[in-house]
Amino acid sequence: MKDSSFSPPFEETEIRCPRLGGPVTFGYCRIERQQRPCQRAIKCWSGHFDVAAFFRERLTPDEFDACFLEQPLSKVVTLIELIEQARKTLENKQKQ
Amino acid sequence: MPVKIFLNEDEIPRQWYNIAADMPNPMQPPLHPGTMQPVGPQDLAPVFPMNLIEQEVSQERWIDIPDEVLDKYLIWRPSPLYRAVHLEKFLGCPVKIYYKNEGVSPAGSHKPNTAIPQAYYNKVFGIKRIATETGAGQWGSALAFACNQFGLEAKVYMVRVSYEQKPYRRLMMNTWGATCIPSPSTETEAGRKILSMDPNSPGSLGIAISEAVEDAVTSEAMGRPLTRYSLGSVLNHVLLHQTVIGLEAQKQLAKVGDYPDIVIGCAGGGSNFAGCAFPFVRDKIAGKKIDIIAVEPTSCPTMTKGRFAYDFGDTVQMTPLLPMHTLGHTFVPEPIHAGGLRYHGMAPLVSQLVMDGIIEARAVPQLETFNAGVTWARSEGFISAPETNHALAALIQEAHKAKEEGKEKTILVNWSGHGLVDLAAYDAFFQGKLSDYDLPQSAIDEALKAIEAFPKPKLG
Ligand SMILES: Cc1ncc(COP(=O)(O)O)c(C=O)c1O
Repeated sequence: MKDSSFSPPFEETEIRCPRLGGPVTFGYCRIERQQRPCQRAIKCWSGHFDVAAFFRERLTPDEFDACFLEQPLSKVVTLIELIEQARKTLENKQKQ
Repeated sequence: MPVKIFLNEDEIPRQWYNIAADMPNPMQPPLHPGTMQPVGPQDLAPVFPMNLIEQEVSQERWIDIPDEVLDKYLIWRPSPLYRAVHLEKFLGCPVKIYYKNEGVSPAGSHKPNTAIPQAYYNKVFGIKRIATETGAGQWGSALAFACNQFGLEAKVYMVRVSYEQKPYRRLMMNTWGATCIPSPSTETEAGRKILSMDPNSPGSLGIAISEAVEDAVTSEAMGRPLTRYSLGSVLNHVLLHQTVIGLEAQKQLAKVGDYPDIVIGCAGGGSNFAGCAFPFVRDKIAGKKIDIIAVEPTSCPTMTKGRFAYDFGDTVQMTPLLPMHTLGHTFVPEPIHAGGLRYHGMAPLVSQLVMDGIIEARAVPQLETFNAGVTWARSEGFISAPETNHALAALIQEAHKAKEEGKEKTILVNWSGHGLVDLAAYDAFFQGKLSDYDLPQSAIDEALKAIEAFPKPKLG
């Protein structure tokens, strides 16, 4: 990301996150995926401000595409990646 | 005319319905990101017991519900089918409205329909403990209840922001004997890594899933009881277990000699919607005329109308004609279709049926959902979960449409859960803190400009 600074008013405004089932601020949606924006961030916030323009200003075109335009991984593929990650964690631990 | 249509306990369905057997376009198995070969049962074995993996990939149309699961289902099932007579009267539209009340389960939603069989299959496979993640706690509480019923330990990683906001679901989990901790936690490498970068991290579902999977995969090596992971939506076996809803509803409607023209459910990951709708999708594939509507949230009314909704909403979610960096290969062309259901986390079976034109995906804005929930509470009496309100908003839309068209319609809606632990969301609504904002035309123009270069979705 080029610039991660962000100023209110959006930190005060809460919307209901359809994935969590509770209220969140834009500050949460902006870093939801390991410091990257949630894939739904544009869809959820476009009713409140020009969120697409906000991210276009702060992300390189490649980052923007990766965040919002890539086909999301299926749940099964996500799980397989996480299994792999957990196995590596374990291997590292066992080596130590 | 009965308001409640019950099934006797011995009329409970004895099999789940597996729509994989009837899909007009068979599902392609997901590809393993490492080998690019179709994912096989062994790939998932570190997180799920093999009996559940078999269900995940099964092509059998009917799968027996084990007696031990039926015994537990009988705690609250068969759930009543209601005729929403008070709402019908209030709306004054030419509609008969039936709703399946899934809020009668101990956890207050449809989630135990799959939590119970998942706990059972884990137990018979020799698993002692289940780890999972939860957002606001609906799934965590359902799994806590189910694990307690089968004498399994439950460990729930709850996204920190929700953990702090929602003490009641956490307390439900504790009451059923589960351990619920805020995620990121110090108990996993995944959690510790996040906390080292940001000690105040609010967490996210992604982090919580990483923690729960790590917990399961490393359990034996770390000296914990044998643990597997569990998911409350999206996957095929979860949708399969939920079909008990629609199968019961079909029997109940048959008792009063009725059949729906329209079936409606809210869709987050797709499980309650699929559970109610798939037995009717089967009829539709066999030639019945029936509209089946999956309802998801949107933020502003503008997105549900016209070109903006079509191009922007869908393209942002679904443009796959782009390099798939994370999979390490380039260019995976796929047909693009309308319908916003393919964001991260929607059940592939539901997405596919939307693409096949069998299911309609509809988005309703936040305020309309709460208005519908309040209308419902003030007519039918029950206070719905905010997710359920999406289905109610579409129900009211369809009732008005029937009036406009001068047609009589029978509508079935899945009432997926009560909102008694979600009253803070109603409070925010009453205080005017929730808003739908009409996007200024300049912002729409700007957004349209941004997507001009994108490929346009093909319909059909
Ligand atoms: C009451 C209720 N309905 C619906 C949903 C959405 O999930 P799904 O689409 O898997 O049914 C949830 C999710 O937590 C829920 O708690």
